[in-house]
Amino acid sequence: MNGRDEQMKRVGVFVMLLFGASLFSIPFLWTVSTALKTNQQVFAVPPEWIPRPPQWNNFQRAWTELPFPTFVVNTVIITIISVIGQVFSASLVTYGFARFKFKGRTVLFYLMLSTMMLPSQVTMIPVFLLWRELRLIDTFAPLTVPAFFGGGAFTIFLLRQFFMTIPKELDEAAMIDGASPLVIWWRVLLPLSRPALITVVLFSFLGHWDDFMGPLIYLNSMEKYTVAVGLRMFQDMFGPQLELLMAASLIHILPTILVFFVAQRYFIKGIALTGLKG
Amino acid sequence: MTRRDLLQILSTAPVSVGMALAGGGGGGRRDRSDGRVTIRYMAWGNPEQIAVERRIAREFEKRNPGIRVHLFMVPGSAYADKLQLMLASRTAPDVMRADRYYFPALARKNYFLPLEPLIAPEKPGFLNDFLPIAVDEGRWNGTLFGMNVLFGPVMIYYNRALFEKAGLPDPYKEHKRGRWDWENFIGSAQALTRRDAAGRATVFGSTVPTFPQYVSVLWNHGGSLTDPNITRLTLAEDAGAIRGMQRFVDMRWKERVAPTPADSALSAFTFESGKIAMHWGWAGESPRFRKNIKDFEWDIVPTPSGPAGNATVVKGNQLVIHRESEHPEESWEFIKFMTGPEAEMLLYGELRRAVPTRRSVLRDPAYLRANLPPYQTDVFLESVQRGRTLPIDWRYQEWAQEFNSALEPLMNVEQGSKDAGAALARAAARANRILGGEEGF
Amino acid sequence: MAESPDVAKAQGAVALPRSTPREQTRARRASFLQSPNFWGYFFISPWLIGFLIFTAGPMLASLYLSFCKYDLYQLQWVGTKNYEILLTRDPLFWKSLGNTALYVLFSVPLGLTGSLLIALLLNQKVKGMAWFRTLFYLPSLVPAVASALVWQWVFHPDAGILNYSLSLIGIQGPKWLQDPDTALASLIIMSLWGIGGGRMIIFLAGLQGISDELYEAASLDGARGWASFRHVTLPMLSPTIFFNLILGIIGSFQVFTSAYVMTNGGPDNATRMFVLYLYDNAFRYFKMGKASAMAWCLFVLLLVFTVIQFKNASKWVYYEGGEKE
Repeated sequence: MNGRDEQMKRVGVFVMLLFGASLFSIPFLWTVSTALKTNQQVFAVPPEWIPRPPQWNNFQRAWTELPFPTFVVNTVIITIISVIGQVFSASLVTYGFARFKFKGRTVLFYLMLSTMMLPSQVTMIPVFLLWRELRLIDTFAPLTVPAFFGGGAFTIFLLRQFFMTIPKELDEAAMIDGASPLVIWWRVLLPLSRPALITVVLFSFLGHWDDFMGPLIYLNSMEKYTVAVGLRMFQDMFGPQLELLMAASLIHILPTILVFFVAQRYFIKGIALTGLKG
Repeated sequence: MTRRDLLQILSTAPVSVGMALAGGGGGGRRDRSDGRVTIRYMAWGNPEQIAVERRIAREFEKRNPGIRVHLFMVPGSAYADKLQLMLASRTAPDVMRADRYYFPALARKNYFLPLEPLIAPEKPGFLNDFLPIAVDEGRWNGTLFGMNVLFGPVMIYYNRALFEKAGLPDPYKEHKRGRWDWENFIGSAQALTRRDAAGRATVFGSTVPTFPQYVSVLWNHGGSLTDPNITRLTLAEDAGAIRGMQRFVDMRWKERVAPTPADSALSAFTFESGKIAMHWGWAGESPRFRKNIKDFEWDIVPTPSGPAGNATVVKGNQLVIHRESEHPEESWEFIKFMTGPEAEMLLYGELRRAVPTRRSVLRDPAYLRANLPPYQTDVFLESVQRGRTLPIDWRYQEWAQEFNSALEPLMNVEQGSKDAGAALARAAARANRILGGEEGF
Repeated sequence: MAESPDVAKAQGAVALPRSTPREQTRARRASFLQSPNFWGYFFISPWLIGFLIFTAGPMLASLYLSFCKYDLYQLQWVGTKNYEILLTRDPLFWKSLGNTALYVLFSVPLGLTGSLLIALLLNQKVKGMAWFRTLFYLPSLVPAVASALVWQWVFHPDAGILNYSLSLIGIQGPKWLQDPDTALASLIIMSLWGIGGGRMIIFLAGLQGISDELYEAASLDGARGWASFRHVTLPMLSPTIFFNLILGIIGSFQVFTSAYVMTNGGPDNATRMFVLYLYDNAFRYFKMGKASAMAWCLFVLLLVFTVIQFKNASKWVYYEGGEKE
């Protein structure tokens, strides 16, 4: 491939990126634009994309109407605990499924996958009864503890697909050097599956940050509510005031955008395989 | 051991075994050490509503030093889910507010405590001050399970500025003169609708009443939704009901004086924004309008009367006590206070989002005096006097869903047939399949 | 099983160094500790314990409920009646299953292809890639509450951006969500807006794992562009594609939120999805038994699908770790 072709290709990629990115960010831009409007401007025809003057105080109103600072603290606590639990326990479990031919592995693996196939609406009441029996209703435990028990079928299956692309010779070499499986998990598999682990962290973060149903059913006291529940209360109150609702939604997703922006840095070609090339 | 315990055992067996092994367990919920009884009260509402209920709870605690009220608020759109989960798992709070739409379904399951035994020690004739229609909403199969709160009629909110601009007489005055009928209403809606050069509406004369608000229109045209015992929907065989239905469907699709769902998507046409001249709404919407409307005058008028009268839909919520509450007496004290004259004055005189259920409060000049809109508070009084309850049974949610989805081509879809008679026949047949079918599984 | 010393003596000319029983036990224990059985169960134990405590009970409970009439208060065994009613007498069961199948049929293959293309695009070395990736991902970050409104705006028949764009090329757009003929298609389009989201990230992570050396080797063999994609990228990415396919099917069959917030199943049941109908039965009509039976029908359907996929996978999924499905 000569330099000219390379140049052409880059320009082509850039144009496609630009086109796609603008297409995909339209809904988001509309959200931002709406959040900065007055109620009259929201429905102005033709629509005004850049509201003048921008109503920055919509954000302040959205922020102060409910005890959002408390909600944010609660959500951060739940999310951080769950992410840590999920990443560690899921990678352990995955290592077991991906690398050891133990008796009953296939059956257990299908059993694990099958837990994703039953709609949660019908297990909600039995699961709730269980936490009631443990006297942990209105605590963060039902929202965080399950993360430490394997972190869910989705995560385990995802990590397994990545673990299985890592050549076995690497573990075997370490094994011959006398490393125990725990050491191999920590020293070989975890570093080599960094993009996959970052993906899991990202999904886990987003999932717990956005979770509405869990906090709704397990938490009773308003001082324990999360941002997602607060946002829903907000929606019920200010349904017709789109500008406030959009401002509140943006406050809600700002941390997730930041986390994504930081996490995506690790999806750069080369990082994944540094361990291999050394 | 009941069958219900079986479910419990099945789902929690591993935990129970684990706790037994660990020698765990422990007593039931204990009250805090200061000897006060805590009752838990669950409800939903907007900030104004929450603030008033919190004030009522504080006021109640002052008068009953031995009782503490733990009030918790749940997002309204998910309230029913949470309520059902708590009831089914026996973790429900002592006192809760239940919406009329599912109150019969819940009362039927024995989730709630009958109130008569708690009322018995009260003064004789305790219930006499309450509007009979409001008390009856709290009954299931003759037993009183709930006390009515946030009770109110369907009314018409109107934008006075738009009426003046269109040169129309004030509808409240028309009503006082006995001229507020369907002809007048439609005529006003037509005169109020404004269109731009392209023929697109910029202001709509009215909204279309939604289900079940529009049941009053059927009544006023001589029809009814169901037979008296709610065993089947009868409106398809009912010329009056078909006429009433056609009347307001035409407002949207023929005369085009009311917004279609496409028009009103994204709250593009709301009463608050001044783009709707008349809005069919519940009494509960007034705090929102008071908060959001700054630049025009508005007020209320009863729904227009039809050829067969002027009955109006009324509906409230029920305050109920969980059957397994450990503090039934204290809970009743709280409900009694919530529906007592003082609380009603606070809740309705100030918040004015509903109508008092006590006749003494409803006629009290202090209640009727208003320094904030709506000013024409006698409309509340009058609407309640014409009030009629909706035919809501324990299967309401299912047949209403089926009925409404079958009616969507008529009500909401542009290219659907606009023949009310045919659409109602189809919709009633589908709903009746549920009403006539075997018990729910 | 240790032999008695007498036997050993009787047998024994040369006294071979023999292990004592205790040593044998220790050796057996040591070999167990090195066996895949021990380590496998050791590593999966967090999941296994969690499954037994938190998941197995509720799953069995819901299976039991599917043979009961349960109105969230009273429980009554009715045998297979729920299943009979669903399969033979409930038109909405079949209607919702049909809607959902149609949704899966379009949204899964389109979504999978779209995500892969975007991931390939976002895997290039271009300046400002962080921003591009974030912009593509944004639609999946907007919370359901806000995105419902965004989509009402996109699909708005007059003021919406979609019909506005169509009008620029001279097409009169349909009524989208307000029309029973296009409502389901609207939800599919809506799902495609998420192709820059989770699935794309998984592909991107998968692309990271493909060694540059493989591409270099392929290029020495003369494979470039399409050939390199076909012979290096696709096989190396096949485990990720497989994952996204399985999860796409499971997830799409359980589509709920978009239908719940956008259309609530309307107009005229055109978007009544399987899980939406299940939810209505469970929490609005108080028919938890019937809802559980529906859930188990879906469960069996998905399990069969998944097992078939796994059986098929050996034909096209390549694991560098050397294992076959």
